[in-house]
Amino acid sequence: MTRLASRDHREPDAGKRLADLLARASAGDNDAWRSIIDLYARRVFALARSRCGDPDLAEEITQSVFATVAGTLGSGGYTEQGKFEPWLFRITMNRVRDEARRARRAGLSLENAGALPCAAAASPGLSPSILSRLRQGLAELSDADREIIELRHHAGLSFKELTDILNEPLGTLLARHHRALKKLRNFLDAAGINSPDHDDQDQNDHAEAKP
Amino acid sequence: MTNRDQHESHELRLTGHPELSAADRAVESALDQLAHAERHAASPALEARVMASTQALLSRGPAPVVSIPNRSFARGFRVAAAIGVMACAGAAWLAIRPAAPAESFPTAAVSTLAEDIDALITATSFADAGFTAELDKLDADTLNFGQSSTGQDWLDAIEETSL
Repeated sequence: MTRLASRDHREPDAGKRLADLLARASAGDNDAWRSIIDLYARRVFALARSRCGDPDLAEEITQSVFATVAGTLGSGGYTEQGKFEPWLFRITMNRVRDEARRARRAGLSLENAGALPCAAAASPGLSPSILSRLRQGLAELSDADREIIELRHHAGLSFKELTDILNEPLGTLLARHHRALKKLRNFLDAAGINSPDHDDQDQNDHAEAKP
Repeated sequence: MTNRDQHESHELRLTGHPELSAADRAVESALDQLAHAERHAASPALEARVMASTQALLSRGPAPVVSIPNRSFARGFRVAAAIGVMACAGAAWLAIRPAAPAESFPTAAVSTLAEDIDALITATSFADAGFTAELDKLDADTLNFGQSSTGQDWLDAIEETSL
């Protein structure tokens, strides 16, 4: 299940299996709907949490996103064209933006990622301090750069899927992603943190597939 | 999605950004681990709660059919509305239009009008001549009838009728 949702290890017939799940869920199959939730709920949550910081609010956003998807599937308003993930994460980004606007009206800020506690979010390879610095670095990025990083890594989308969401050419997105990575690297260097160990790169690349 | 798109998408997933240096790839990998941490920061019951809150929406079934108004009625309504609009526009135009400027006849028009009037007078004169002759004839007949009615025969006829 995790492998189906992984950005780097998606199976060739994943699209067909997803289409089957969507068709069954649209027909009211609860098992299929549960499988879709298992596939995507944490990716939606990670994207929302990275942007808004508050895990409770991120869970509310996640529920709201899936409520929208369920309503559309249940009413027969969704036509499978192989773009479920771009649609799902576009809804997520819209919810996040709505929350950001609401927070601004209330005089609050959602840009508090650097202050997030991360003890409960243990990572298999990096120390909590580096993860915290990375969150701070993300908060320093421009909105456009941060968006592409979060959609690519937190939502686990391919660049091709990013072109569907952001309506920009593939080359432009690659350049923006490259630029954002450089800014993050410079931020980590300036903070006195060397770039994460290159020797562990292969292990890190496969970290997403681990349960 | 076509096979080519799927192949390209799969290719991109496998290769990632082709021009990244080792240091940038390390940052990318660190971001993947950060995302992994964020996903696992959610409550273990996240999926169950999402399922519980959305299951009813999924089984609600198709949305109710929205009734569409009768097309002929709608068309008639549109025609009536169009006529009403045109009538209102015409009435408004008549109400606010400027007064017509005084007409000035050109010389040629005036001469033509005078000729028409002369022709009308001539025709009337011919008609008057015929009418006068008729009047004279009627007057003569009346005189003859009066003279004949003063005789005894006429009085006898009246008496017989009255009896």
